[in-house]
Amino acid sequence: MTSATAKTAINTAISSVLALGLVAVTSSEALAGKAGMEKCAGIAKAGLNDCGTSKHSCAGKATVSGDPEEWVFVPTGTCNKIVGGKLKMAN
Amino acid sequence: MPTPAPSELTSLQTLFYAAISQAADPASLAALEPMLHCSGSLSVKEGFAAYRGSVKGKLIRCLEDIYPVCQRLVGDNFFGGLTEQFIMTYASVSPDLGDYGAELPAFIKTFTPAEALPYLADVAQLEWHWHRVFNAPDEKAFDMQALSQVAAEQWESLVFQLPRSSVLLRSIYPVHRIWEANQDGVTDSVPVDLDQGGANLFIWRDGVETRIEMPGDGEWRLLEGFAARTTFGQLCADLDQGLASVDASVLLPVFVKRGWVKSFVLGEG
Repeated sequence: MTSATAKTAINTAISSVLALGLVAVTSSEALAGKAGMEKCAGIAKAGLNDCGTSKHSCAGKATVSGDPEEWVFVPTGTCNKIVGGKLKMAN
Repeated sequence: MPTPAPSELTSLQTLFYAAISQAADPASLAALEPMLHCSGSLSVKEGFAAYRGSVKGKLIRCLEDIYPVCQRLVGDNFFGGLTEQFIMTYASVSPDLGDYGAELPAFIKTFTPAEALPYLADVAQLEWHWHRVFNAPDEKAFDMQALSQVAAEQWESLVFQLPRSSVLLRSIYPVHRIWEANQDGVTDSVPVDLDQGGANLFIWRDGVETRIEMPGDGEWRLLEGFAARTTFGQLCADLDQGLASVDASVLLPVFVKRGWVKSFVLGEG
């Protein structure tokens, strides 16, 4: 059962969206143009399906197999910049 | 060598896959050996080892591309060890390398050496979502014309839909801060405090720009309602009874304008 308040909210919401539509029609071309410009600027990330041979050879950069040594699993990156009680508790 | 029949081809491929997989099944390699030509400078075994190394290198590079923040957080050695273990467990099963690595966040949760970094799995989850949203197909803009054709009596049955590729992500850690402080070119040296509270994040793409938003409580409730495919009438009724004052009549047009709501269907009234 929809209350009177909820009904008013529904009506106001949809009417407002429809009113928005009138504005959107006049500005859609400008927005489309902007998006195209952004695409030209080349924000796209390099594809993951390229063979990437310029970065590493056919033999791969990780040919050494076998279990990683224990020392490998000591974090050496930026996680030392993360502080807080939860981390201490986890330790 | 004559072209094999389809059934032979399948068994040949199965053998080949087992031989180049990281487990390097010796029986498969032995079965393949008589069927292969050597280049002269490398034996069959050496050739396969190079092949296996190449597959592994490409999968590791793929994970580095998708999870750069995780790599930065733990360092190259740790990340190399982590991804090596992951690759031993999870094969690449899609022709698109962009599909590889979805299980890494869950894998991190079970990875004992990462126990001391309880936020790492959530950071990985954020990076995976970012990657998927970034690469998702474009979506059409909201169809105002179609909405104007829905009769007012049916408005409460409308089910508004978030962009198909968008994601709501909840973490008890400030993963957005960790992510932000570890982007390329960021010189932010302020420590991230895990006690600063968690994050409710909405990840979506605005045209070609992938965005991580931090919606307010009211916005979050509405986003969750849309994600759960609740009818708009039901949502307004629920929000009306809730303690928090969420004004859907104000928020819906804002969402449409931002592009957070992309389409709608008519649900059950």
